[in-house]
Formats: sequence, C-alpha cells, structure tokens
Amino acid sequence: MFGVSTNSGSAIQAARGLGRALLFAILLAVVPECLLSNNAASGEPAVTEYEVKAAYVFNFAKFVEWPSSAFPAKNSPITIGVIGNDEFGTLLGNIVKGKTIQDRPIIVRLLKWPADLHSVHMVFVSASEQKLLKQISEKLLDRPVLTVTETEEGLQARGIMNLIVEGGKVQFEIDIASAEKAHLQISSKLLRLAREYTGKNTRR
Amino acid sequence: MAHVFRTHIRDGLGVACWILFVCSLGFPQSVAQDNPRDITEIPLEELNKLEVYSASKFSQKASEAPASISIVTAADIEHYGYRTFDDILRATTGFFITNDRNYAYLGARGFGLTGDYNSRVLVLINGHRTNDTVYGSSAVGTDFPIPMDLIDRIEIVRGPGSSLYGTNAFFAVINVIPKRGRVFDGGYVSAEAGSRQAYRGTATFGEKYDSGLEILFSGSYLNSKGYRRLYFPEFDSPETNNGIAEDADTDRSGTFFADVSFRGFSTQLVYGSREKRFPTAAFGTAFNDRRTVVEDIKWYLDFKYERTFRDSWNLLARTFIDAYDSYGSYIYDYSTGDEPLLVNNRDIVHSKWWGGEAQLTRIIAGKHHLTAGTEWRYSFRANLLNYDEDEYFLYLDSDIKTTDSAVYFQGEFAARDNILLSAGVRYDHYDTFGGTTNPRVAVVYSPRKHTTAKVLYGDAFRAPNHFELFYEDNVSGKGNPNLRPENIRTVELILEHYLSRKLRISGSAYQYKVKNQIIQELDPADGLIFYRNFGTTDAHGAELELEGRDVCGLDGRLSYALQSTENQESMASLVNSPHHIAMMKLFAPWLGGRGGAGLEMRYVSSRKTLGDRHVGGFFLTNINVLYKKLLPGLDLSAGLYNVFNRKYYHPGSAEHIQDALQQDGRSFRVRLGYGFSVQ
Repeated sequence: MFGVSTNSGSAIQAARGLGRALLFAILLAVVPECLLSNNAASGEPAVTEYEVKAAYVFNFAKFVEWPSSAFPAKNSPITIGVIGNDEFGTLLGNIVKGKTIQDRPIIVRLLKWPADLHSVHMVFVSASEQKLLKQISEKLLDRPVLTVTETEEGLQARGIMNLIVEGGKVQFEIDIASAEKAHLQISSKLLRLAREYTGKNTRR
Repeated sequence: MAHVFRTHIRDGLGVACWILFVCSLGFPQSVAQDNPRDITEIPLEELNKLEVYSASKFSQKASEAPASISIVTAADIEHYGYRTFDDILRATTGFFITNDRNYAYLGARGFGLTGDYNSRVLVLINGHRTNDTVYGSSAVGTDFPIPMDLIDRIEIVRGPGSSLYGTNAFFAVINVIPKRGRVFDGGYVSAEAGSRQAYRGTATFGEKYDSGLEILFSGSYLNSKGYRRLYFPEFDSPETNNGIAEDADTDRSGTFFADVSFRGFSTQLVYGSREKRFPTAAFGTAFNDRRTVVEDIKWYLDFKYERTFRDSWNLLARTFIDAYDSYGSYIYDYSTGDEPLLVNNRDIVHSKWWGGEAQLTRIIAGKHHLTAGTEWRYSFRANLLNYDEDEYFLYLDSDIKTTDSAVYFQGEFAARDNILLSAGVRYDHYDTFGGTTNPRVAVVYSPRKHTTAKVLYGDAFRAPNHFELFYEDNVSGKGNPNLRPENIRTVELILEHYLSRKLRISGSAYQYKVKNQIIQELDPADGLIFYRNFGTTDAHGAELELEGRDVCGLDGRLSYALQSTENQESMASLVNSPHHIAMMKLFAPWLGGRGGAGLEMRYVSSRKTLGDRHVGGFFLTNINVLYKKLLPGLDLSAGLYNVFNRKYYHPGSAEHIQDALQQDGRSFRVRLGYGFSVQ
C-alpha cells in the first residue's frame, strides 16, 4: 500500500453531505412510492415484449394467406408451433383462445425438437433455438409454413418474419423471397408496416 | 477481505445503501400483469409503436461469433448508471481503467501500458475508426464524442482484430453503435448533476419519416469543476502551495452528433471537444498553475452506402474525412535562480486525413460467407508545433503527409451444422515502414446444443504513429523514422455453456506474445528521448463469467479474470498490470421493468508502478436507482459511486513525478430525462 495521505478539503465534505442527503431523499421518496403504488404512476399499463410478440403472431395469421391446399377443410384450424420457449407458447395459447380467423380456430402447440413440423402452418423459433432454424428450413423445404424468428439485427439466420426489439418497441421484418418460395401471400398491410429488410452485415 | 467487510458494516451510509438495495429485491416484479385487456384488439399499426418492457436476453451474436465478445446495451447503461464511456469499459470482464486526471486509459488482459494514449485498442463509432493518426489514440473518458444517452449498444471484442481492421486493433476492438432516429420519434432532453459541481445537459431530436428518411441530431455539454483542492505530497513545500493544486481539475466537454440516412445511404457527423486542466504538474510543468490546460478536438464526416442485391451479395462503401486538433498550454518554470520565470509553452497538433473503403460479401447456400475488402487513407496534414509564447522560440514545426492502404479477405464456412470455420487475412501497406500481413483463424464447434467451444489464433499490429516517428524538437526528444510496427500473436480457447435458458457460464484461456514493442528511451549520446522497437512480453490468463438473465427476477453477472504478464528483458511483470480482477453486477427490476436498482462491485488487485512499488488492490461499490416514466415521458435515476469512499490509487506515467495518483472518492449523480413527441 502507498503511504500517500490526502487533504480532502471542504468541497469534498460538502459533496459528501450532499451525497448523504440525496441517498436519504431517494429512500424517502422512491421506496415508499414503490411499495404503495401497485401500478405505474402514469397510469399507462406496462406491456411485456412477449405480449406484443404474441399479438404480432396473431396478426401474421390474420394477414398472411396460405394456399388452400394447406388446410383439409374450410374451417380447419390454423396451427402455430412454438419451439424453445414454453412460457411464450402458453401465453400465446391464452391470447388466441376462442378466437377465429376466417372461421378457422387457432391452435398453439409447444414443439419439442425434433418435432413434427408437418401439421403446423406457422412456427415460432425462439431466440435460444435460433441455431435450429437452418435444420427447420431444410426440413420444411418450400412447404407453406410461415417461420417466425426473433433474431437480433445483423445476424443472418432469420425466418420469413423476424421480430426485433428496437428502442423498446417491437418491429418486424419480412423476407419476401422466402415467403414467395413457401407460396405464402403476404398482405400489403404487412408489407407496408414492415421494417426494411437488410442483408447480413458481416463486419459493421 | 474480512477486514474490508467490517469497514463496510461500520459505514452507516453503506448500511443504508444495502437496505435500499435489499428492499428493492423484494418488490413485486411485474405489477401491471393483472391488467386484463385483449392485446389482439390492438390494430397492427399501433403494435410497432407500443413501448414494451423487455425481458433481457442473452445476445445471440456473442455466442456465435468467432471471438470473445461482450455486449453492453442501452438498458445496461440505464440500469447501472454509467456516466462516461470508461464507466462502461471498467465494468467489462478483463478490462480496467487508469485515470491520471488528464485522460482515461483502457487496460486489457493485463496490459495497461502507461502513456500509450489508448493506441492499442481500436474504438469505432458505427464502424468508423476513431483512433487518430498522430498519437493513434482513442478517447475513452469524457473526451469520447458520444454521450451515454445516445448509445444503443457497444460490442467489445477481445483479442486481435488486425486481420479485419488493421492498426490499433491490438488488444480489443470496440464498436459503439449510436441509437437511430426512429428510437426517439421526437425529442429527448436530459439534465444531470453530480459531485464536484458536474453538470451535463443533452438534447436530441430523432425521427423516421414515411419516405424512409431517418434523422438524428444530438448535442451535449458537460461542465465539471472537479476537486477544488487536491493534495500531492510530492509537492508539499511552501514554494508549491504546500502540495495543494487549486481549481486545477476542471473538465469542459461538448459533443455534437448528426445522422441522416435514406435507403442505403447514411451520413454521420461526429464532433467532440474537451478542455481539461490537470492538477498533477505532468510533463514537468509548474505546480498549481491553472493556465496549464489542454484542449482536444476531434470530428469526422462519414458517408456510407450499404446495399444487398440478388439476396446473397452485400456491398458496403464508405468515404470519410477526419480531423484531430490539440491545443496544449504548458506553463514551465525556466528559472535557474530564486525568482520564478514562468513561460507558456504551446504544444499544438493539427491533423486531417481522408479515405475510403469498400467491402463485398457473398453468402453462399445461405450459410457460407466470403468477404473481400479494401481500405485507403491519406493523412494530408499532421502538423506538430511546439513553441514558447512569451519570448517566442520555435522548437518544432513539422508537417508530414502519409498514406496507408490495405486489402483483406475473410471466409466463414459452416463445415457441418455444428462446426464453423472462420479464417481471415489482411495486408496493410504504410509508406513509412512498408507492409505487414496479419492472419486470424477460428473454429467454433458446438458438440451439444447448449455448449460451444471456440479455438482462436490471431496476429495483430500497431503501426508506429506520427508522434513516435516524427516528434523532434531536439530539446527533449527526437524522432525515429526507422520504427517498425509492434506485433502480437495470440492463441485463445473459449468454452460456453447454457445451464438453462437463463443461465450462462463461459470460460476462456489465452496466451499472448507481444514483439517489437515501441518503447520510450533516453539516448545517452545526446540526452534526447526517442522511441525504438525493443522487447518482448508474454502474457497469459483466464477469464470466467457466470451470467444470469431473469433468474428469480434478477439480472446479473459474476466474473473473474486472472492475468499475468512477463517482460522477457526485465524478467518481471509489467507496470500497471493487475493479477486479479473480479466483478459482480446485479440488477433488480421493479414495477414490471419500469424501474430498478443496480449494484456493481469490482475488485482490482495491486499493480506495480514505474517506481517499482505497488499501488494497493481496491474494492469498489456503485449503486444506481432508476425510475422510468415517473411522470409521462419523465425518467429519473440517481447513482452513488464508490459508495464506501475507498481511497485508492492508479500508477502514474513517465510524465508524472507522482508514482501513484489518488482516485475519486464517493460521488453521486442525479439524472432527469424527458422524452416528447413533436408533431
């Protein structure tokens, strides 16, 4: 240890006092506020990222048109598979419960890999399972299945739809070429609201 | 350790802090969950405007990249109350900061070479190189030209990066990515007040229009008085104010940032200036003279075009102009007798360079990547000027034009689904010393779904800078145009495993060899200081990191770095090279992520000084409390740094008489931010 001593001076003393006062101010003001209020002060309810993602998935089902061959009957259900995030799968299941899109009910299945992908119309691949996307795409070939990913910006492996959180807001991108290959019709409404699709940025 | 703990308990304020923190842990995690409303009823047009409280996630980029990467996000900056760039870097595994009250210096993996002006770390802003040509320096303190409010994320890549980036990418490459206009969708202003009369204000406006045009303008200003009185025992005599430097720690910094992008085109203007007084009487200046001051100004203008075509080709082209100017006033006492003879010596740098680069990437079969690129830079001004002002005497006025250029290739091959091979090489040519070739090879292998192993090999270089080559005043120093670049050769092994979706553990071990070090020496023949290539240093170390996201509602990270350096000539470890660095970070959210408390603890072990003594190890604690949307649009945060007011020191550099420099005691900062839409 060094034998250097210091002469702090009155400015530091004052700063210390101020620091202490500030801390108690926080204790007095912030803590009781948090304990007492059970909702956000502004009255604006908090929405979680996955609630919004679930809403997006529902809207994709609504604004994407599958070829009629994808459904055995006119009122056959739309099946959505979720890989790698059971919490989200359950949340999505609760949100779409009892809802129909053009007379079709919606079914959510939690898939375990290697899963049966043949009976789903849409598959949500969670961020933790992103590595599986390549295998999934190979397995699906060009069958009419809408892949939805939540891949970060700058990474290549994405589904036809990709959800991104940016600045605290959930945005989505569309890979139009892949959608065409899968014979999926994407409504102009989705195309208009999608963020531009940019290619892989390997370096910067 | 036990002793340290006891001292903490004694500290009443410390206890209060702990109570505050522990309380925050028990708060309901998401109070707003019980709000029953049908989210599917929200029209699609509204969904992308809805602000969400994000569950934090691991970065995918980090685990896939063929390197050891840390990513710091805007959320981390808010959670832990980081005030400056060096606050962020010192909280990153394996890194440490040295501050001499003039500049902040980044140390990495045991290397904290004093007086290197951060020239062995490459700092990029949106991919634009910020290291200048005269000193090769990058700014990591209050001179960094982007305010913390404006940072979207920072990618910190450890290890050599010259195979892609060329010079300065020696120990690490740090890319700072500012937020984009659409994130603000209107205006944002913030005001801060901190210890020692430090005030900062920022104002930002950002928007993305339906036409695709996206704009962002941001300015900030910091005025900090610093310590009004600082005591230096080395100067404790009546002639030098009994060792007390008064009002000599001031810092005034301003920044401006503009980003305009349309489709694939983007233009960025970055400006940063800082005026700093330093109380240390460094470089042999007169003690306690407020006229000793340095102003550094850096700016650049960057035009970038990026485009993907035919689905599998990606083109990036950029051209830029950069400037770095420095205006130093150094007050020297030239007297030989009793009466002081104070002279203002001006040390001035004017430098400008421009250049361009192009990069083409081809993606084959959706998984292999081939990249080729070229870079060119012309430094058309590097004016080094030194003169005495009062009785005019010119010591140095040189101006040299230099050019450097490079080509590079990189390939990433997905050999199998779970094996990625990455190889790259870059050739740089400088008209000062000639050519250098730097390769890098990496294998990323995932034997199981949640386990990844990486083996890395890489070389890097640091080109001698203008200062080392050409600074020749023939009073204190002389140039050496025959300098060669410094080289480093590295091998690293990384293991990463996900214990669950929320818990990640990673470890790495590395070995570095630095050759042809550029060191400062005194020529006994003429008594002049010059630089030469001499010496080899070996370093090895290991890092261990445990990171949790949303574990019992808490985010956190625990890390430990063990590092050791040995210089072959002196057979001793390097100066300013800590053996151990340990860190703990914990963030407890409350109100469903709208607020929270962040706790940060850091230990840096003792370090050798230039005087062959040691500064003691230190253990620091910071806390930060955050409350977002306190009122509509209003965010509040308050932080306390060095909570227990530990007294600790950093080693001094060659320009200091002091062998060790005492660091800041307890400090606080309160920050208010307000966002609003402009219609």
